[in-house]
Amino acid sequence: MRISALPREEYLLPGNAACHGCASSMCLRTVLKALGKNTVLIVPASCTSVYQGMFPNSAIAVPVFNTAFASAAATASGIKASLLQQGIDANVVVWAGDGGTYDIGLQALSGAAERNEDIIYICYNNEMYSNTGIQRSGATPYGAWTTTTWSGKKEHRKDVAELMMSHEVPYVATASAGYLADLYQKVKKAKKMEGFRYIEILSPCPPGWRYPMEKTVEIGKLAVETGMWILYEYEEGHFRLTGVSKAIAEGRRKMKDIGEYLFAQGRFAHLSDGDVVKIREYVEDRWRKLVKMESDMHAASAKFYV
Amino acid sequence: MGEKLGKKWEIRFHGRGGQGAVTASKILAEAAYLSGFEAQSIPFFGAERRGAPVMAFTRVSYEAIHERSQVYTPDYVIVLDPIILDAVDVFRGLKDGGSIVINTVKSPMDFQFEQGSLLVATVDATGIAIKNNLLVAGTPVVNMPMLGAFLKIFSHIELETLEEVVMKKFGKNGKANVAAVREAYESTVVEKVRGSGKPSTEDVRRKRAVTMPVSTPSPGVAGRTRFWRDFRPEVDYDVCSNCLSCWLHCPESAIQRVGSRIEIDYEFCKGCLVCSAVCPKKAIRVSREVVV
Repeated sequence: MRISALPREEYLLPGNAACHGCASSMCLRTVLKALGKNTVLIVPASCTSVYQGMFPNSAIAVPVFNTAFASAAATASGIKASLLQQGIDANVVVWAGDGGTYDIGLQALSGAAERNEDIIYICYNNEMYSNTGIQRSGATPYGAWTTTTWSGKKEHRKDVAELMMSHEVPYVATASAGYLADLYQKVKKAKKMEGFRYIEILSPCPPGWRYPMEKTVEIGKLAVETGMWILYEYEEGHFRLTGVSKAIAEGRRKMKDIGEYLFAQGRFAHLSDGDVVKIREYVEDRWRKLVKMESDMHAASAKFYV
Repeated sequence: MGEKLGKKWEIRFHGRGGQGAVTASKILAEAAYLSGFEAQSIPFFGAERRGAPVMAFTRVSYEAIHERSQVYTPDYVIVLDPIILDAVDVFRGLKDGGSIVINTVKSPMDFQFEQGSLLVATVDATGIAIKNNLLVAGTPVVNMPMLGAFLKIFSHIELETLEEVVMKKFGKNGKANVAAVREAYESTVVEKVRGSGKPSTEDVRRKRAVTMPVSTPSPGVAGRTRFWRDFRPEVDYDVCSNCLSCWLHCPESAIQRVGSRIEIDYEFCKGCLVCSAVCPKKAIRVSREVVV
């Protein structure tokens, strides 16, 4: 799509308190352009609840409801029910970090997904608790340094987007700060659907990931180009890779080596060769799994009706 | 029926943990329900523990009650504890012309408040509780006599209805509680008392603190973020192809589309240089910021 087709209206106002080169504010700006004015944002404890500014001012030009860490999806369910009761048709959208999604907000998220609440849940995943000074989360990848994993995290990350697919909600998508037009289109699509919609954005964090602030977009692209982050959509039971991930799966593009992504960031600078091998194996396994999921999906009808 | 439409009473209980404020709130709601009203009882959520100041709330209405919040501007206040008056502002938010029932040996005229006038009712509920042996772990349980006193100023529930609920709730202790309810009802002193009518500035501040804080959108919530800038991006319009990549990726909304070209808002640009990094034409030059 042409960039000029994006609305000129800004719903994230300048002079907010986000860090230099913040991918979260970058993506929120794009997301709000896609959602438009008729939107209520629910924000649990996260960087966003800080960079939106303090009472009596707000950097976000749509109604925002700040809620407790554990309860974003539950709060959104209640707000949607209330709006429905009042006859108001609006997009009810959660904007939560990975701490509020993967760890502390997980039960509320799972509950809302299971009830198929008519809300959009967007997780901006910076793979750590950035706001409180870089602690590990369930989304932190293997080997990454954080202030609570000084010698690198010993476990692989979990995957909540896949967990949402197993909840069989109408729409699940992954996006990256490296591909904002793709993010815009996915949010646009989700907005037109009904029921529970989950979008997860890989949101690089310059201070937490330890890379120069201007490289946010580059890092967001490298994550996808090396297979560390995979772009896909799950729509009404159908799974498909999208964008650069699709191009790689179809052989139209060559996958870059994982080292290009890892060693562009200070949080991986200490990795041993063994660590890199371990991450490469993890990435390859995940690739095989998702590519197989896509092909199984298309082969399914033949298998069932022989 | 017409005048009854929309009629609703909000009641706030003040007590200390163990005196039975929550139970009183529930029993009052049940008696109201049996009297044909819609009713609701809500305990205060917080660090409740025995001896600490607690609150409970009851709403009584002719129509369905949709609120689920605490009561902030009550029509009635019931104070179960005579000492709590020194620690808690029990008059806070009480509507002018409203009513308050206080467990005390003082008389209604002894109380001062900022409302224009209030109906003040006093009763020695602690004395009545001791007399009727309503003691739990040594603490006089004053909640039932206080409900008896409350009915003296709240005429929408019959004393018999309340007694019926109390009997059902307390079983073998029902009789003693009912006796205390009746004794309190009969011994309550009610007087209309004039207050100062002038809210203190402190009270105005408190009132503002209990309304829901709503922010308004405005740029510059973090101040003039130009002062965060170490490096200054500048567009070379001769090279710029107006592809809008910088506009799309600016995390700060500090690049605007003005007419057919883009412009950097130097008041708020933090100088992250993402614009320069994503520019395919290398049309954004970077120089050191020099503060003049």
